[in-house]
Amino acid sequence: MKLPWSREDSSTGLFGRPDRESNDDEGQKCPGLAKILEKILREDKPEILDLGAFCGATAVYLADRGARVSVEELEIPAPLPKSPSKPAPGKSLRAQEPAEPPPPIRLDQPDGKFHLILIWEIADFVPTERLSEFGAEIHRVLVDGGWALLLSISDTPTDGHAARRPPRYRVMQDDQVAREPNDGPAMKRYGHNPRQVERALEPLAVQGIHLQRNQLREFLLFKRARSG
Amino acid sequence: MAWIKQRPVTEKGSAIAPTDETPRVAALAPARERNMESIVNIGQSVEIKGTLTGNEDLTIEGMVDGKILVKDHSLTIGANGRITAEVHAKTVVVVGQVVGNITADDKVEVAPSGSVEGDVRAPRVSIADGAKFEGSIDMDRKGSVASKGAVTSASPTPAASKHGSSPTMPSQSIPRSATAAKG
Repeated sequence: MKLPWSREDSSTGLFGRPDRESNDDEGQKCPGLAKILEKILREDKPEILDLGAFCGATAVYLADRGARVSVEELEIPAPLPKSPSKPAPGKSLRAQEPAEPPPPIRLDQPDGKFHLILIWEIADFVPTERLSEFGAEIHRVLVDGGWALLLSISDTPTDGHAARRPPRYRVMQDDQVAREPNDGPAMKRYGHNPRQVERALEPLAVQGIHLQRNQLREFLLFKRARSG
Repeated sequence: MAWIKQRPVTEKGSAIAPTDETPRVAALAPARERNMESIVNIGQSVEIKGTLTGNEDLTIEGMVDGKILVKDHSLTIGANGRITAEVHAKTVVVVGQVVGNITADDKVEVAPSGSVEGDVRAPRVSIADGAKFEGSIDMDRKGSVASKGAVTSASPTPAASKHGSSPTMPSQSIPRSATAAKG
């Protein structure tokens, strides 16, 4: 299935230069990733889910570090339909019936499989009212004691129509990533504030938030082991 | 092929070492000719359903639905190849499309135009920028001799590997960033 951010031009093998918002070829620090990798790579063959615009180099890098890496491009969920307003005079109620609800957010993965889920800015493209549904799905596929690293940009315009697409993240070292543009038509980016993200991911414990100088926020999320 | 005929040959019949004036391919010609003898091609119009086994290098440009086993040899899925099969070979190069799990004893390489939907298991894996992939990657090195220094990526930025090292996180090294931690 062709996904919204799949590259149209796959023949060149080149991705092009990073855009203005991305960093140079040396990438940028990503301390949260290093911290989590240090923990999960103690496991024998930890499972990692790379959730975002596909970057082969990232998948290969993590697999080379000893993990089993699964790649899934989440289909960006549609916003929930607005509830019907009071019908205008002369208009029938039938015309005001709510639209069909969009399909639920679903990762094609079994329960409790992953030790780490990498959420590269994907949450910024999930409608705010569906963030908690997204968080619940992340929670479902994590093992007890598993981690998620969520990256989010905090300088999104308030109108939520930033002309961007989920960028590709190339892991260069355990603590260093390069953010690369992703060609294609613009997609709606939502302006989630940190509280909204934290609330939506409530089943997961926020273990840390790193604020980068380019407005990038790193959320380190942990799934507590079930008691009893 | 014209370039083989143009190959400069010494009195003993061996190819002359390449010089600035000599095309590089000319020197490779004898080896290429030998290889050509042992490579089997499955053409674009061929469709196979079932299990395909062999003891030769294999290039598939057609369609295969089932299972492909060419252990100890290389398998190339050409640009026109459409495979829906479990694949096991020494080396697998994907230029076309594969739906199914791929196991290689040495290396799996997915070209920019390649597409893989399935799990990949090999000591060495290379996925070019632009390739499509959905599934998982497992670089299991157990019992593999050829795995040392294994990772390659066709990406322009090489991924630095830290085998055996214990990564640390020097928070002080993040310039002008704030760190808020919660308990």
